[in-house]
Amino acid sequence: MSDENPSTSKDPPTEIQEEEVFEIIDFTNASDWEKFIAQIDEAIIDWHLNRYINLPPLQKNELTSGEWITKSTPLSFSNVPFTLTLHQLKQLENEHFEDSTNQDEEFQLPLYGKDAMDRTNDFPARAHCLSRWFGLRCFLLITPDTDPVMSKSKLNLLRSSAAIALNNTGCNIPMFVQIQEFWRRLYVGHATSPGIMTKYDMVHLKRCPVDHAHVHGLLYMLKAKLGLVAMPSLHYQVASRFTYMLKDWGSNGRWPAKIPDPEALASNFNTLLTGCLDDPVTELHLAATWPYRTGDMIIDNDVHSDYDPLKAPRWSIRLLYADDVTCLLAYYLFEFMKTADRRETLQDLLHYQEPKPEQDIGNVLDRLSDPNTKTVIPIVPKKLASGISKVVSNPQNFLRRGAYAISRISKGVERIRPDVLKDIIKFIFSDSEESSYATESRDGTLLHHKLKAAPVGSLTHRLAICAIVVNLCHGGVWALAQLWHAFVTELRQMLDSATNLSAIDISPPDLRTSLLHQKLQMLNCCIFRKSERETKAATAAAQEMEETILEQASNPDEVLDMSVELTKPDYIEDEGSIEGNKLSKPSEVQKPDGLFAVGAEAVEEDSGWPGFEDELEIDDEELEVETSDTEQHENKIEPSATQELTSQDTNEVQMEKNQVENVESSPDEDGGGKSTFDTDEDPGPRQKIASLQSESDDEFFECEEESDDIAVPEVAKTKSKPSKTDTQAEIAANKSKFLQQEAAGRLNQCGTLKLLYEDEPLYIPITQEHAPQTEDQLEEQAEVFSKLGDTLEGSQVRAKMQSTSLLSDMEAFKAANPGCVLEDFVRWYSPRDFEEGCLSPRMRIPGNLWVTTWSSARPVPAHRQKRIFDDTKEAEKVLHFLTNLKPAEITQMLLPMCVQETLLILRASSSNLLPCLPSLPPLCNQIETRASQLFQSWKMAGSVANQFVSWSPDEKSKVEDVLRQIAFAENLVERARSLQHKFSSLGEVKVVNAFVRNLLEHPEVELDGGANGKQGKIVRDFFKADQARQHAINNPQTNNMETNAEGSKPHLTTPVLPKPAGREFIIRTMAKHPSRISHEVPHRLYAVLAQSEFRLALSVSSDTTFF
Amino acid sequence: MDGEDVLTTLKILIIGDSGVGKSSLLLRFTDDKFDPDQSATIGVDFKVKSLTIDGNTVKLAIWDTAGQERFRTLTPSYYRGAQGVIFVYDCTRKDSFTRLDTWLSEVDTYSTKPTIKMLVGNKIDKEDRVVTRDEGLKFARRHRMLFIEASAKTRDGVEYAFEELVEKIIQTPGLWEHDGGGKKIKLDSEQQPAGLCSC
Repeated sequence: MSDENPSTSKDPPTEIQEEEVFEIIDFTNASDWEKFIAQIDEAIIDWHLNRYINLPPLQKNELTSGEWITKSTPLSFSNVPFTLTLHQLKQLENEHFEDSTNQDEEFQLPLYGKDAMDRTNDFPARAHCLSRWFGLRCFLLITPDTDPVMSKSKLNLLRSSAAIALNNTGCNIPMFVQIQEFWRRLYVGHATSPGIMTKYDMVHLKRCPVDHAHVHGLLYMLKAKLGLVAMPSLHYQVASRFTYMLKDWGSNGRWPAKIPDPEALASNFNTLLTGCLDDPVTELHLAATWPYRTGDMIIDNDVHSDYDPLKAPRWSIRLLYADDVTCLLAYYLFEFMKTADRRETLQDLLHYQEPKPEQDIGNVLDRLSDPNTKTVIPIVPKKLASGISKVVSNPQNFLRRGAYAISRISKGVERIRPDVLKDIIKFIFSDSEESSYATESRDGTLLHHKLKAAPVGSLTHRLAICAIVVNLCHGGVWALAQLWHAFVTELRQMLDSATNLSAIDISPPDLRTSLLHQKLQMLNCCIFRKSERETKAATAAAQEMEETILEQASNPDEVLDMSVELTKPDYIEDEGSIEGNKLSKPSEVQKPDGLFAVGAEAVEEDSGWPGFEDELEIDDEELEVETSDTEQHENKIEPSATQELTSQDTNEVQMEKNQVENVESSPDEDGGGKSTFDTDEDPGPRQKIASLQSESDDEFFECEEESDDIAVPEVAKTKSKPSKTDTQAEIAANKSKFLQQEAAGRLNQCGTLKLLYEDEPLYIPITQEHAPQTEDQLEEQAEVFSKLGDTLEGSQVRAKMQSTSLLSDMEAFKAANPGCVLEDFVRWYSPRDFEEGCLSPRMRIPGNLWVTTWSSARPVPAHRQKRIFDDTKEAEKVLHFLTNLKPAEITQMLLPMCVQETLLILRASSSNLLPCLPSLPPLCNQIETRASQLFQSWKMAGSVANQFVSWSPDEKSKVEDVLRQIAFAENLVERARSLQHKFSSLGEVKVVNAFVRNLLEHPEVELDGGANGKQGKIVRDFFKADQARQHAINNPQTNNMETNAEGSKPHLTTPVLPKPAGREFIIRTMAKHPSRISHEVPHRLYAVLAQSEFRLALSVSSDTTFF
Repeated sequence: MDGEDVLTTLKILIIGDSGVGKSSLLLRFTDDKFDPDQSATIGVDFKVKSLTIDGNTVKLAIWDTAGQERFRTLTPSYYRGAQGVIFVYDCTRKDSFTRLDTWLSEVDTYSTKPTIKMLVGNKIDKEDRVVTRDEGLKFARRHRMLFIEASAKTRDGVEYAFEELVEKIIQTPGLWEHDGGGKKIKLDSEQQPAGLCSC
């Protein structure tokens, strides 16, 4: 047998194939046992282990630092399933290290034998237990899949199977079988190689037998096992390691040094606080190691031991971390996420506070079925509960108080105190210049676009921070509802008083930011226009106003004339309906003001905020108005396609409905509701543009005209009359008339161009800005456009719908350039279409929209035109949208800003902690990428009408993934900070950081200079302080006696270290076995002696040639 | 293959300076027509076409935009969610080529997800070409775009351009989603059942 094997390894291919063929033939009538062995054989051949494997010696700590690979395959022994697994340390590809030189030697130790005797990898910090116990870098393992192997006969059967398979294939890798209950981790094994056979056995006991509780006893046992009792201990090499555990860091090492102050937490709305409620670094394990001593040098028996850990040549520590420590950033976010699951509307929540008897039954029922705050199942109950309870169980008084306060603040309170709410609103709307845009770094700018959030310091950002803080500290979803209500009320007030929102730029909605931010930008645009108008109005003289009113009389009709386009039949239909719409509701012009009045009242009373009672009344009032809004919202759920075509009919039906349902409300409110509907209702697609042209203009042209007058005083007014009579003069025939018309609304000259038919320079007119739109509006418009289909008619309707701004520009151009022709306009507007002195062919197509629009355009400067952008209506839309958000939707809207803030905080930490936590920036990048993907892909469709698509389970789990990653990153930060704190006395920051980084990156770190080094001293001090505390509590005498009984500690008057939690020994020897004439073969005994575990792992080899 | 069996709907955007032939390219592709009297686009326009590539039918929603400066503030909103963007320039007009940089930065600013970009040099039928094929090629390479020269008038390269773009989008994982959910990409040829011979 042993002679054949070397040749197998020399020339594997042919021999193995033959063997294989033999096995396969045998398969058909083989017994279960033979089949089982054949399966193992096959696996070994599959994995190319059927050869003599030799490798260079292990590098220091390679068992820990190297990469392990595993392969596994299922086995079956008469239908009982097993798994065969190969564990292998990945080698740098030099597997064919063996070869000729080694083959020449007479007798050679196999790889596993060498590894077992190799002292460079004793007590690896992280490795498979078999590798640790037997010193192996490669092994095979058979584990039962279901029932553990309990009987002796089964064990023997499996063990022999392993031995036979190894022999069959010439594989020199040890193979183990797991026996007994799985948790006991008991294995027996076998290895064979030319000339040597090794048996692996284990002992596992609960208690340590007194005879073997020391090196002396273990040595004796090994000698007896080898039958070499007389062999001097000199030939036995012993590596020892004692482990000490520290669970209490004491007042110097405890982290957080100060528990976050709940008051500070609850009153800080500027940013989020960081910190943890408990120490993420839970335990320190100190290992004192004696790597090499010969057996005769050690005195360690039942009465005396010379092991002194303080003199151990090597000290190393490892740290245990808690993953579930509550950290504040994650705490904020997870608590906030709870709101995303709520179904209630804002009204439900605001009314839940103090129900009134006259409320309708629906609300009462809601209330009954509404879960109480305290019984709400949180998303992260375990995390928070453990965090809090741990803190509570801490003896330190301030910790308990802190935790109590936090839990009280976050759980007990269900509403914000009025004064606090007032302060919050004041803060959100405050005009603090320093904090807003100054903090916005270049990274920040990129970040808020990437995350589709809002600029740091902006109104939106502040609101988000306040919301997440309020949610955590001031009463959860109820407080959030309160805050939102107050926020929207304040917005309404700002609009009414035409006060621009601070901390938000007056620019069209930035589509790269969050929808909420866009909405607020939109509102701000509206307010800006309103205030501009009103400022002008305020300075205007009453006289002028009267004059303008006289002028108005003729204007509206003209507007209508112009918007009726005779060439497009289906468009006319819509025009007609709009006209009808307009005419049927002439009285509504003033109605929106009615609504404003209600809102304003509410605001006034709100701001006073005398007490809860008052507030409730306000709520009621507000609600009645809002109820009608909600109904419209529900009505709108009808497919928009049908609505698009029959919008007029539906409108009327809906209005009737509203009236019926609002029977109880007063006539005023009824009207208010209707008009809200009118303004908020998104008109059908074709109607939309048309309404901008006609209806809205009619409604609000009063203000327009006022502002016009002021903008262009006397001259403009006198001018406007001739211009009207000029509208028919399209072809420049009547020169005298042109001369009458004075130019108006010029911006600047367009280069050196001159008008074609006038000796005048070509002026670029002041033009109206395009109507700003938020992304959901744009999306809706795109939807409308695409629904028109790709027919020619559809195309024409689309063009017509978008020609509003073209018309406006043309009119402004005509006003700025009296005597101009379409060619002039084109030269400015689309220079490509003016070639070689005439219009391009496509501009000359008869009846094309450019020509027809041009002919319908009157010379009207921009400031006298009807508004393209109806800010009153748009502002109402925004407020309607905000008012009708549910708390869950609010959470969704605010989350990007919250994630952005946490990410910024983490990034700030990561730059501080870079020297000790270099892995944090990549982690932040990862979070950023994931969050970016998440928030970018969030579909906003339907949000115009408050028809949110709430998060799908998939999206939700993605959100939670992001939050979990944030929690993990935060935990890392706290670990690093905790360690920095604990080892701060190490010296310079640089030194501390280097050591902390080492600790964080490696499972175990060796201390420079052992017990007497600087690092060792800190560790010693921690233990010493802990010992002192223990002594104060325990009876010192009992303590001493125990120590003596264990025999593991020298007598110390003031013990620095506690009893070791575990003692490990590796005893090795090369000895002739089984007989005196055998070769010297390796033997190894590993022992671990702990409080409740005694384990021996023994490998004994035999020379198979000479016995 | 009936209309039901659509793998996905893709959003394609056509941009470029005014008068480079964006609408003409689109009309050639969708209706195989060339209309020299096509009026200048106002705002955005829209066309739909189904395309079958390797047995997979894909519905294209193609948004055609106006090139005029003043319309530019209107169009970026349509960039959102586009899987493919076709940049068109006129081979006979240098400025339409040099302005591509502006268009590119606009797309980079406003598009929300990664898009496949294609550069199309139009009007190669004309004699007075000033932008060489090599220049276009270099630009496309620098900005990682597909490149083709075409003529809406003579139909050269038009269909091929759209096909190429769609194929590239389909091949890029994560760019698009199944419409029906259950449909799988079809293999080129259907497998014949293996015949068994009986003795």
